[in-house]
Amino acid sequence: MKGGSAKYLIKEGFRNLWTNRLMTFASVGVLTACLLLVGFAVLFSENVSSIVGYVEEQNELVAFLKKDNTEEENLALQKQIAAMEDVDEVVYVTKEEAWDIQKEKLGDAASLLEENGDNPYYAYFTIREKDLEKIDITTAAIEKLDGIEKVNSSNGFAKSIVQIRKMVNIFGGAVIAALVLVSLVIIANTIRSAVFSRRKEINIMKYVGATNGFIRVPFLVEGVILGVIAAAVSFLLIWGGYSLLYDALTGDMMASFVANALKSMLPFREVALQVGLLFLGAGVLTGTLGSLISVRNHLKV
Amino acid sequence: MIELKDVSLKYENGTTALYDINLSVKDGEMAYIVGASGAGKSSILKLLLREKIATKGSVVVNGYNLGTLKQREIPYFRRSIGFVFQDFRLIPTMTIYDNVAFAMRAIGAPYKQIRTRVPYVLELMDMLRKAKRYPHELSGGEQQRVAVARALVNDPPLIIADEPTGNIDPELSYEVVDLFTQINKCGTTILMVTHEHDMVKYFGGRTIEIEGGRIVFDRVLKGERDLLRERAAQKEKKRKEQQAHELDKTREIGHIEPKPEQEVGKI
Repeated sequence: MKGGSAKYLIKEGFRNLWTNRLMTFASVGVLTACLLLVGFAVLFSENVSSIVGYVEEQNELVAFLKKDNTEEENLALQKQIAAMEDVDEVVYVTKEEAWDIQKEKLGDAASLLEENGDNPYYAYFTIREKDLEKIDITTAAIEKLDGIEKVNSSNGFAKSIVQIRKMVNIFGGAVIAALVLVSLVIIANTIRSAVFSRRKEINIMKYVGATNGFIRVPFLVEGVILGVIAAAVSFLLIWGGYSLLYDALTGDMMASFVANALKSMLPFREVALQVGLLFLGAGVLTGTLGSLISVRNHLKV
Repeated sequence: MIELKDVSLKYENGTTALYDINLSVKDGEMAYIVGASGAGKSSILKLLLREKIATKGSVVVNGYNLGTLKQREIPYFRRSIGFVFQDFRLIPTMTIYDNVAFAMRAIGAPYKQIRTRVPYVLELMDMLRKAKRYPHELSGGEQQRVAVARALVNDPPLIIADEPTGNIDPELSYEVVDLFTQINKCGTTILMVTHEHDMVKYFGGRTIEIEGGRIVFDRVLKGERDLLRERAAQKEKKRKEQQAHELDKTREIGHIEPKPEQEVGKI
């Protein structure tokens, strides 16, 4: 294709967007709505993952050590446990440290304990798991070791978190897949009707002796532009919406564990690039594919 | 050039539209295809435009054998023909200029050539003054002239017109057909489908009549217009002779220098 002709065809694409602005508006609107839906679904699922991840991190095993263990024995045990397959980290807290932590927690009331004299506390390990699902196995393994008095694990809690995470992944994936499918159908229909209203034009071009390529290029340009506009609009909208939500949820209003968990919501700048690229890719792809497939039906004259 | 040999066309639904058609239109000819609706006129056009492929026989147009033409070669074949349709088929969102220029752009003509050729062709059709208008702002006759301009702009050896006067007022119809006869005089082959017998009678020329999918009449008719012209020419000749005779007389009588002969308006 010659340079002049390419320039003309691209210009023609822009001109067609304007002359058929009602259809352009409809297509961009539908595409934007679909991108927004998918975008929010993706963000929601990402955030739930992130929050669940935070909660997971808070989940620890506590293994109490027998009181008659020597310091060397304890350190050896720490090494042994740390070497286990599913264990991420083992922190050793000595009897004295445990005592100090408790005193700190009690504040003024700590003096009561001191009066009693003896340190009533056990030395213990806090153990973080690599994989929450295997917490049962690890607990059993540690309990079998000599020198361990008892292992405390919030087993049920860990299990439900694992469940939640699985559900979120499956459910989120299904919702996103459904939304993508519905969007594709709607977009294809919108673009098809846009092209259908111009089938006469395509027909005339065919009779004048235009090649299929020549007829396609303006539609291709239109598809790309539609996709880019829709991606830009939905990016701005989701930016605004998400930031508002983020500010509201991570603000100082709430305290406690829930607030801490929500703190691990992803700020927009962390996901901006991903979301932007996703929108641009999906927008341009659906725009061009939709155009080309719809035009193809009318080219067979 | 159009060459149909033993051509039959049967549609998917089982109806046969054309039976063993033999037709040849040579370069530079002008021919009308007439016939009632349903006789098979549009079927012939569909074959010539390669919308349909003949179920039997061979169709050759401008050297392209349409039976063996590949799908991707169709555009190049169509560039050798100018089409004019009953419903004009102008693109409503383009100006008159762009509608005509479009046909040149479609075949990849250089920009410079488009810029000189389009105004020239529009001027020929007397439509240059409306170049910036849109099709819906023009009358039917004007739209058809634009369509003719579009058919002409790539200078095709053959123009096929399908009922070009079907949507135009009767007076303007004659004007449009007259345009075609003039284009034909410049060497372009013209095939025109019409059901207006009066018009064919008036202009005259090769007339092919189709009935029930068969050619029933194919002859060159002398047009009324030509007859009228001949009569007018004879009258004029007589008048001139008389005038000359009278002049001779006056010269003999008064010895007056003869005036230069007046230009006589052409019809």
